[in-house]
Amino acid sequence: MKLKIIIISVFSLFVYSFSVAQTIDETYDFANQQFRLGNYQKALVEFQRVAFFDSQDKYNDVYQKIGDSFFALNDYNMAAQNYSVAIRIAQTDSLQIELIFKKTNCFFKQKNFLLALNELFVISEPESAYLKNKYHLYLATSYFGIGDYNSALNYFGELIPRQMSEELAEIFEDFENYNQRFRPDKIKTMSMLLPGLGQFYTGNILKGLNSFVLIGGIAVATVFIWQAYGFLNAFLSTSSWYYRYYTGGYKHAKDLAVHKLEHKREVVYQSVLQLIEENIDKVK
Amino acid sequence: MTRNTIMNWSVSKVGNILILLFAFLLFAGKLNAQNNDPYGFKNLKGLFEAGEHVIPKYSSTGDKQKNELEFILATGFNTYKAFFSSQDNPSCVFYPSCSVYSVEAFQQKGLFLGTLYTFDRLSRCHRLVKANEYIYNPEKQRFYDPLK
Repeated sequence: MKLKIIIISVFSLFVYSFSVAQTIDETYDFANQQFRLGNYQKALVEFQRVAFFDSQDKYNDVYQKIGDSFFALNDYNMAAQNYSVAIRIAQTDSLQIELIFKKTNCFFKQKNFLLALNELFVISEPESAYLKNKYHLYLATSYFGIGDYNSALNYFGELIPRQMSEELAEIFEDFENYNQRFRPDKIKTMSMLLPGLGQFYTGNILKGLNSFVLIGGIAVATVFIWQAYGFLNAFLSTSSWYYRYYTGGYKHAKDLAVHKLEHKREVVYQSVLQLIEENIDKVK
Repeated sequence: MTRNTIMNWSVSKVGNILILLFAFLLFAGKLNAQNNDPYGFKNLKGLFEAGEHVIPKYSSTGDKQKNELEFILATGFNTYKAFFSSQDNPSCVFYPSCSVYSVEAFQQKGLFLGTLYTFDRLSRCHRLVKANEYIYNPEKQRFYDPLK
């Protein structure tokens, strides 16, 4: 019995000497390593463990890291929540502003540009040129997202040299004209007046022809039935079909206009962003 | 006494310098890679991508050769989707839509059961659908009802 106890004690001590728990520093390094390798889920769990056990607040940036992990996993709500915590405990103003940008990015990804703008209003105009430029870039993107193109132009204009503002203004003027030309309600009205006209106007010839032939065919059928069986029969048998494809036709025309404008918006934004990316370093 | 010039350096000395230079360039490259997008343009670029709506098209998925019935079904479905459905109001309360569901039913269950499945779906597709029996997708604003 004595021998048994001695053997168990020695064995326990032997095991204990080798089984050392992972320290918080090791966990933090491991999490960073996993993040770099792209294992965001694993990194997230480890960063959360660090946040839980870090009673001395040694790792202040851990909430930012948790936010980054959630962001990489496309969970933008959770990322924004963790960035909010990181913003509250940030030790410098510049870090706080960078974190606000990160939080704003979460709202951008969710297409919630109004909330992004609301977040950016917390920042007072930064003094450093880099942060000021970034602030203007994010403000401009938010205004562009909510459709306030004049404000977007003003802030985008701050990010390029003065001599290039004319080029930028031209891009926006062209976009404004395009928006006026393909106003969705205008296209819808055109298709209400003559089925297919709105589709033709937006450049969708086949779809316009499709709508015109379909609704025209129903109208012709109505006239034939009217002549052969009377008005009531014609009304009862074709009115529902006519209504269905007539209303569907002009709604689709409106959708086509919306799509066309969305495509143009994408092209305009890309060209503006490219212009800024190429010239932002030249802004004093 | 010889002067210490580059010409007098030994091969090992030059080798050490080259290694150091290589390590410096590698490190500098890494630093540069970390800071090459301080404004976050990469994140901003895809923000306003416009989506594309693609009309579903019937195509044979089975190993069997196409027969006449399948040809008629495919042509009918594709004509309906391209010519009629594209002009219609979005009235179907389910997704996949009734026509897609019907084609899948014919493909997977055969002619007889496929017809029954189609009529079953058409009889359930209306605005008084029992909401608690289906999963609602807010993005599509439709109830999910796949072929089982």
